[in-house]
Amino acid sequence: MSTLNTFFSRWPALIFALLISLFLNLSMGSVSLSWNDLFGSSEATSSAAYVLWQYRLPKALAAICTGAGLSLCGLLMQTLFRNPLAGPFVLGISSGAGLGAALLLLGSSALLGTVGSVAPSSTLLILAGSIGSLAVLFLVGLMAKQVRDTLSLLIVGLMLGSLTSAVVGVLSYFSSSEALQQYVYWSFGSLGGMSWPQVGLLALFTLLGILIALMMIKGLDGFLLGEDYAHSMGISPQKVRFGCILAAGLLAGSCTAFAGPIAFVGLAVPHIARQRISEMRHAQQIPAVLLYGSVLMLLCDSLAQWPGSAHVLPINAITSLLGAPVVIWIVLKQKKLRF
Amino acid sequence: MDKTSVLHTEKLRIGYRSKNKADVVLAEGLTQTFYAGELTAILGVNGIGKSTLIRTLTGLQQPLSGGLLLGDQELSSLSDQERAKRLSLVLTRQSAPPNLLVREVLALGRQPYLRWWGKMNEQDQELILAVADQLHLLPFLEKNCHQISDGQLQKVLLGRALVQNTPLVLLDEPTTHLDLEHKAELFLLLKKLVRSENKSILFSTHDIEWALQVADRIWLIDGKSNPHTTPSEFVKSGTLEALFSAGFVRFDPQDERFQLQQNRYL
Repeated sequence: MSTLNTFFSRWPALIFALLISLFLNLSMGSVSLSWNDLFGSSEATSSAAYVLWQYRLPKALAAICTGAGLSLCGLLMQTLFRNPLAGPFVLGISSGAGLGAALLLLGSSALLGTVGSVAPSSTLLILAGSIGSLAVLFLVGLMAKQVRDTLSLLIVGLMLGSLTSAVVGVLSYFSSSEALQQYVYWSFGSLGGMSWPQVGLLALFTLLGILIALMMIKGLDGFLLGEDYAHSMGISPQKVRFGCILAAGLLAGSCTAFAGPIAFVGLAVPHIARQRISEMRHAQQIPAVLLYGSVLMLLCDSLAQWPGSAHVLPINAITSLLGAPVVIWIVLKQKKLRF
Repeated sequence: MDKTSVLHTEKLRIGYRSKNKADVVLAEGLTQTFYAGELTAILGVNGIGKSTLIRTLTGLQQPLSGGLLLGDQELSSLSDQERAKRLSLVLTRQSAPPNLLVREVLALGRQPYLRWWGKMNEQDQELILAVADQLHLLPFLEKNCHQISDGQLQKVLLGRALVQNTPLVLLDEPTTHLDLEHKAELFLLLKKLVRSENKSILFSTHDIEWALQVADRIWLIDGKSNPHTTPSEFVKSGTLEALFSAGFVRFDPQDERFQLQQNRYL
């Protein structure tokens, strides 16, 4: 009964917060929209509806997908490695996606010169990002089998991260300035400018990752006590490890490929969720990180479009600017992080 | 009372496989039967393979050769879930949960019986409360694992294994980090569980004097004959005196106690 009670006392508040931040997000942008514009009968209505439907709604959905996806990815990694520092970035998964994007954007220009510097389709970009992140994840997973101790694995992940950025560095040295600009722009992170089919694809990948995570709820719970205990409780550690790596690769890979390397969310949101939702069971933690991640990302994106400003700030900077103080505040308030 | 065999090892050979070199064999020819209602202490010096033995018995590690029967079934033929309904495990304190609530750790014991989303029914909840009551953990249910003492934490981990409700419980050095009072409590608790729940419990330990007092059977892993006897016969056999003859301690079979060899450094 008590779980039911907490369900009804907490989740509606979160869902309400999601709706509020979605509304806030939709109402902000370089063109100001008013209720009158949208639902009135004036000439402005059609153009306002066009802005809303073609620009703001896809962007808001992209924010929800990336926020939810990266946060879930962080939770999976933290559970798998039983380490509060784990996340898509720490283990090089996002850098893998970045390498894939760099190989496509910069590699084509470096190898083919100006002939290759045709802007690649976003589908190709996503494919490259996913392949890059899966490749790094595969390496991390392979080494997870060799070294059972998490700290060594984190070091390996960090090394893979600097290795990929070194490759990106070499590639940038040899590429054309247009390609380089394209890559730098990509690395700022951006949720805007996505078409409906692209957002649909991102949502599909995100849903797939969420589905895999949901199918492993029991196994993830078992991992809370470590692999040996998980095994003794009838869970196959290999299956859970494989599932985590697959889901994390899909989530981090697609988010990074579509929206660029968005920092911090994956690491911070699971910590925020753990402080708020006292149940550590993944049946509770997974929906919590999905909701908190979406809300955080929508708010960050709203901030990036600061009202009255013609500029759109890079989302990558905003997530850290907003996220880091939140986590520091939690640490100071709680004295000790619950993990 | 009819004796039910819970665990049987047949010419078990344990150790590590190695690709290029010969296998590292820690112990071999382990043929033993363990019955319900028996408390068995596994003794042996550091590095002899007690943990490897326990890991092999739980299926975490493959035996080099030999058979392992869990009830009437070969261990390797059981599914993960079936195996988890027959044996549960308590590891040394180092691998303890960092920040879960006591209630959550106990609830994890129900894992093998739950469906994929891990929803528990009322019977599951009642069993958790019953185990918590039995182990006097009710006041700590909502406490964080880092807020309770090592002794209580070890009881929580034992409680999780009891919630798993298996005929066989294996414990790897459960008393290592405990003070005298908590050691005594845990040993007596194991003894009580063996009697009242008719479980078969195997634990490895370095607390030989306590093991002699509390266990029904002693299983010494020495890499050779690996004797498996009652404590009194074990004392009579003189194995302990032979084992501790030239070192810093000696075993006195008269009052079943160890004596420090004070003159070794003087």
